[in-house]
Amino acid sequence: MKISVPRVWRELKSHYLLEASVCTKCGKIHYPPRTICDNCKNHKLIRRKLSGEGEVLTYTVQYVVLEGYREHAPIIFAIVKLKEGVNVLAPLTDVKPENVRVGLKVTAVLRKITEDGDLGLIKYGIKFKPMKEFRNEGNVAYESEKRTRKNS
Amino acid sequence: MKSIKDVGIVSWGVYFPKYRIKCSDIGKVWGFPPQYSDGLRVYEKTVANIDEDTITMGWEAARYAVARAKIDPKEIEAIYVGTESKPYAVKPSITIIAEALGITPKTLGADLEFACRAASEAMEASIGLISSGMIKYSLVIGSDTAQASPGDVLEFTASSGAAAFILGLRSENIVAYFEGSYSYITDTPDFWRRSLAQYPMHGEQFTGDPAYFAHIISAVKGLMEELGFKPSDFDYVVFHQPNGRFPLKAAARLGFSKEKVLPGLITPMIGNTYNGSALIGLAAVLEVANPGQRILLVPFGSGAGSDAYSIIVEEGVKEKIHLAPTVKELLEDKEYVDYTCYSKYRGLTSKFNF
Repeated sequence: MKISVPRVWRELKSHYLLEASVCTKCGKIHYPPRTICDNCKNHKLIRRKLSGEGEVLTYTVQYVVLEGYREHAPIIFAIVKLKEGVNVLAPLTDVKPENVRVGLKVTAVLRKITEDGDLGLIKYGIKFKPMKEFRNEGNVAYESEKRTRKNS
Repeated sequence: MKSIKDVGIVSWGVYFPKYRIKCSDIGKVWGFPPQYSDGLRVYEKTVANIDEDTITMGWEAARYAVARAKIDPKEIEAIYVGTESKPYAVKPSITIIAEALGITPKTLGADLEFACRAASEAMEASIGLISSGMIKYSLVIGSDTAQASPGDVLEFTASSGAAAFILGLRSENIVAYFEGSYSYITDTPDFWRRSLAQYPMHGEQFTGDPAYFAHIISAVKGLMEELGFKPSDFDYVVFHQPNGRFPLKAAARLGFSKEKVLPGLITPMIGNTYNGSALIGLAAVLEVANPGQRILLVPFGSGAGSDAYSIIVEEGVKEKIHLAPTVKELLEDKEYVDYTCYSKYRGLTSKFNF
């Protein structure tokens, strides 16, 4: 078994909800969560869900991947600066490497990270995808259908 | 069936993947005649990314429903997902979705199964739970990454997508309410997937008259008779959409005009999202309907069964439309993939791991 079941369970909140720990003394936000603040050594930290909205600070594209990740390649790993000011290292999804740029606005989504073969656990977690600014008014499906048919 | 107290739709959310494959590309690979899929009135379908499944899509639709709801998510006391493409055969999908939405642990929850009608079962159960006062809000999700054997005619339509609805008692915060419903089920072997089988089988033409049409038409006639309605009383009609042709044919047989069906007929652009199918159509209609208008919603599931609902649109609908992506916006946000990429994303081809 390649995926540690206890570890997946222990990290659920931070991986599903982007839950960070916040120092009650100096206010520093830690992601992944820490039990002791590395800024002021305070032991009292509270959990808080992060917004999941931010922008790409920097990124790299991985073509040579670990066993079990070939179908996901190329994997784009990014450091995303969230609105709260905290940096999160996570993969990007729904975007090609040539369309990624520093400053790209992204939003957190729940996606499959990896699967432990055909029989083991499926690991879910946060990835980031480009944020869309939807501005279309109205909604007549038939208009879309006409365009789709023309294009098919 | 009528509930003791009026139950309504608090909000809706829809998600389907941005990737699309043209049905003509599928036809070319498998040697179908040109424009074969046009006969089904389906032109392209959504393709789930390699990292997407029923759980991730259901979560995203639910997230949009929560964004539109204007309620404290902690007040959601029941959460259901209707699906026939569970990532785990044994281990609930709903616990992962609920955990990722932050609405555990004091929650009723289950994965429901009845082919494409499972989410509708969840809707009926939720109406009862809310009306009786047992729970305040329920979150109903229909989500599927539909399977189709490569080269089967089903491959033209089987696609991926999800819809979510939060239900609650009729109040100022709801966008529509249920006037009544009528359920109709029989043992009809039109479509099935055996345990451990990778792809479903279907009874070819048997899926039409004895299954889809018989159940939908019976449910609609039963509802109209119970509530004393006629076809002209409905402004919009949303049927389950296995392809783009069946809903129009069912409407014609029941005496509904094409114009009442087209605003909620989404399958031609995204394929058949199974448990999302009729519910995505309902969401599309809510985004164009006016307060006071009456919607007929009729999901169908193979095996077989259908539920007909009469739904009245309320004042609150307009202000909630743009709190999350609309169906139209999701339709416009697309990127085409070829058959090779599609087959990798859908697991038709994968690397052999030693």
